[in-house]
Amino acid sequence: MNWSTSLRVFLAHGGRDFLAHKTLTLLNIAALAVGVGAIVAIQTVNETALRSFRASLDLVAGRPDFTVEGQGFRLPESLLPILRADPAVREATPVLQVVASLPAHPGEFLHLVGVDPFSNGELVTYRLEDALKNPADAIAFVSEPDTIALTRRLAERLGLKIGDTLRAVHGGRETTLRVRFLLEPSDDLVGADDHLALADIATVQSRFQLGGQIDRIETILRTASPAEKETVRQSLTERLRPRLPAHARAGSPDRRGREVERMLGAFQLNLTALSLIALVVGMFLVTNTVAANVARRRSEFGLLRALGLGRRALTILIVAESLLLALAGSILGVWAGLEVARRLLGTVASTVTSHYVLLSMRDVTVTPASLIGAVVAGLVAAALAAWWPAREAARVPPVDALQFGHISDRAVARFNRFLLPAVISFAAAGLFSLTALHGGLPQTGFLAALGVLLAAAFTAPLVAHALARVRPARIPAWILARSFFLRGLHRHSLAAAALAVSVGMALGVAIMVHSFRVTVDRWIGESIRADLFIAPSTNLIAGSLEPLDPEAETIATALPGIRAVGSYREIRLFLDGAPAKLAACKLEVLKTCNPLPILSSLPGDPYELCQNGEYAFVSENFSHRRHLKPGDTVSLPTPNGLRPIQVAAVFRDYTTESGLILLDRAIYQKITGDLNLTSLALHLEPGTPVQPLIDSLRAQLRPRGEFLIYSQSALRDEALRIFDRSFAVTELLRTLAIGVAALGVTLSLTALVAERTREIGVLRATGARRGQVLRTIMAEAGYLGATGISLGAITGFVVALVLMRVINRAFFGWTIDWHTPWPLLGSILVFVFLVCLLAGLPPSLRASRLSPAEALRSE
Amino acid sequence: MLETRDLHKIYQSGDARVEALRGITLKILSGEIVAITGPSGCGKSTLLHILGALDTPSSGQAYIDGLPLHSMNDDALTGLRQLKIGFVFQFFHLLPTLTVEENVLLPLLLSGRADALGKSRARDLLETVGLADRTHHRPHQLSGGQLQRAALARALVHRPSVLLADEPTGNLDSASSAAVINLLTSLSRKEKTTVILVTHSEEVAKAADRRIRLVDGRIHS
Repeated sequence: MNWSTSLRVFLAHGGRDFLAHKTLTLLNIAALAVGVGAIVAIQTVNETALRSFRASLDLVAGRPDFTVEGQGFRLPESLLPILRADPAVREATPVLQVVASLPAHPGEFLHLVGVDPFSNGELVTYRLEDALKNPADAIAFVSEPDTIALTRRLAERLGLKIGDTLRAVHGGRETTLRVRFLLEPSDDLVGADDHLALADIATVQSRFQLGGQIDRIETILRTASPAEKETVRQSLTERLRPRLPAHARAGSPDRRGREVERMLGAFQLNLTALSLIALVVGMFLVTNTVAANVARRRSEFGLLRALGLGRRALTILIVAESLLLALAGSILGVWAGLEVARRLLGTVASTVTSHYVLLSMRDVTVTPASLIGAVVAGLVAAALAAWWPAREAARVPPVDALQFGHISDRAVARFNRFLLPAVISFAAAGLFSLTALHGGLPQTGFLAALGVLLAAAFTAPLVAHALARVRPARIPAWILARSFFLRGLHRHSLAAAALAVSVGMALGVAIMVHSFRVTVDRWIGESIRADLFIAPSTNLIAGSLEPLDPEAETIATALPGIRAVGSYREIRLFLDGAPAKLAACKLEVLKTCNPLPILSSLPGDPYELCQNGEYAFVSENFSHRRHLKPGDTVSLPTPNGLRPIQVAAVFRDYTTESGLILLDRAIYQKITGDLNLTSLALHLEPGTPVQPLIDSLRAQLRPRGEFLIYSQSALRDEALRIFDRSFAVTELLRTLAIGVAALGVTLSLTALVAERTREIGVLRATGARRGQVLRTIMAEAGYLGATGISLGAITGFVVALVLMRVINRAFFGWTIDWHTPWPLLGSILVFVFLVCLLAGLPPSLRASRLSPAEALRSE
Repeated sequence: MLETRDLHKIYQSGDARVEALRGITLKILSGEIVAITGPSGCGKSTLLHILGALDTPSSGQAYIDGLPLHSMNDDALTGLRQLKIGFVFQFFHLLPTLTVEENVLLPLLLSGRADALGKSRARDLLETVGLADRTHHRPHQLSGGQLQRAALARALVHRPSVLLADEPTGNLDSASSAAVINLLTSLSRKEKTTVILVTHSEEVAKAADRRIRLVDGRIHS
């Protein structure tokens, strides 16, 4: 037979075989679809997040060649002429951004960007619609000092049209703005945040009393050659350095995007790693199905070999056939993945906004390349998974393959051969843990987790075998199930491995999330002692750190029943290229009302040190990541120059992933000149009723804008709500992996029932009732479930150890106290066992309904 | 006693219609050994399945000891198999992970009668078929002839009134075949079991008291 004939005949026959075994075929497609779907969903969400973030950056900033921006603090406008005067600069334009709440539209906000329409022409990435399509646009934009341009989508959502007014509040200043233009982003920026609004920079400065201040200067260089640009940037940075304040950062505009991408990297890697588990579990199932197919069609393959088909050709043909199903599964997975991604967008956007950077995603944006990539991943996974059973099938001599009765009478395979790979995988997990913790390669932490899961997969056949050796009571279904299970180990081992991997992953994540939650909850209980908290509403909605109306402090202090008012200021900045948060509060209040959980400190009272000199508290993760201990120094870039601050103490903190430096408010104001506040913490006199105080605060603050007022318990609930939302996607992926593994149980048993048709016929002939056959196959599903669960339970604890003590330490530097959620673990295990039994029901029913006469004729 | 009257069996698959049995009427007395012979596809196995309560006829009647197989439901037929019927297959079909003794006990286990008496019966039978020293062996440790002898013990352990054997020597060499047929006939005569043998082998057929030849679903002689 020549190649094309072989392929045609083979695939035609394969197609008919798929139709004849519809259940197996559908399960195979579904297993791969779930695996590919998980990847597509996570990739799409990740891609959408990054594209949306980049598009928002581009929409605000255009695509300049060079940027000077203030980190943490604004820049003086006086820097603009310096840049404009530089010979390398062709055009320089200022940008000022504020996040403003909209009292008439609770829950919405404006990301208002002040630009100079006369100098930013080359950077414009949006179209001002409904306006004159001529240079007069710019004049119209600045002629009225309340003019803003809204995105069309936000205008539609808020029910605004051209000419309508909009009240906006920022930093305690309320102003009325008029919508005179609608913004339409250029085609490649459609994923951008629709909360963006544009105004003349002077409008933003005057309306919010930010005169003379800007956030950034965007510049276009004179050189157009990309190669030259980098050199010009470097020399320009060198020239500017002596004239720029310490907190100004100059360089390529891509840098901020890259920094944020790096910041999101760990978060996204975590999700990607989890989504890959689903595909790996799917691969186990494909291997299982192909192995079942080749076992069933053994004589057919023997015939093909007898007719002259070579071993390699047969292997390739079997793989090609499984690729047919994989293609269907992958395409279905892409569709399902996109649907899931759409549903996940909101959750992921909120999580990213809470932890990293303001992000708003309305619809998925995904490139064809990444979808094709996912399909290819599915096909490659299927080809790899099919290769081994295909090769095994091709190795059988044609004479043996043509003989009947050989398959089912084969002795139980030797499973000890899996011991060595299991030990090697486990040892590799240990090595990867070391490189993650001490080798400066945090990503290898995920390889350590993979090593543990692989070790579990290799151990599955041994555990299954050991479990099946336990002699059952004299219950016919149990005895037969044990016998069937032992004989089906060649097939069940893969399903048990898939199940153990899924259960291990699910339990590991459950232990980690629970431990983390309990740790954070206890920490909140210990470290948040204030009775009431006040913050601008935009800080919750937009995850920003906008200043609080200073009047709020005056109002709060004047309230009856107040023992102390603690203030809090927080800004984001980059230290040595890595993000961090700088915070300031009244340490005197903190010390008496809400002492910090201190882990280590300089001799003496660290509070006094910080109140009297340039000392700071730093969070545990900040100290861990930057290898700092009490007595070491951090250089803080401030508008008044670089200030060396000595670490007075390290404290436990879970508020930010990037790490926190905490100064006394007076010291902070002295060295930075920033008098703004971000939030207030109110400590009440004992016995003061809380609710009347909240009502009074609300009444007094209402005219001044939208505020968040939390009681202690509400803040705790809010913190835990954000925590739970952050892990919502993780839990979804966990459920998906269990779902795929459950499919594996059905697949394995369906394949075995198909293989054992005649044997079931013999049993029925020997006197087995339908119910007995049903119970036998169900008990076999129970054996399979018990194997996966017992191994998965042990694996779960090891995975949790890696997640908490390796991945978390390497990426985030937090201490997570170990808390085992026994009831949750118990319920997951019971749930998985019930899912296994449920998954075993269809093949059990199928087996019990076989007509004994037909079953006996099947060989 | 086994009896059939005008037994028909038709298999319908789509447009294809196969009439496997076309009016079989026969009577087999208790303790009789009958060989059913005939070319492939003549309906031998179909008749065996109906007589073994594994299948039901399309029309006509079949009785075992006066019980009407043709009108019983699946549960009743299973109950009948547990009590009155034993099977021996060409490929032995012992469960490889059970010991020889456990395999023999299987019919008693399935009907809830694997008590001490049952075990003693199984051991006696294994001794009779020459496998007393193989009771704790697994099937893969036995030769083909030994496997079929164990299968014979399994078929008789619950004292069936009818033993049905489908090509019982089809997978054995001539020496083993002779041994198995000797055992089968001697044991069934001793236990007064009716035996129906489906076979292509002249040697096996000769061991029967009577021979029924089927051709195209009809009794030819």
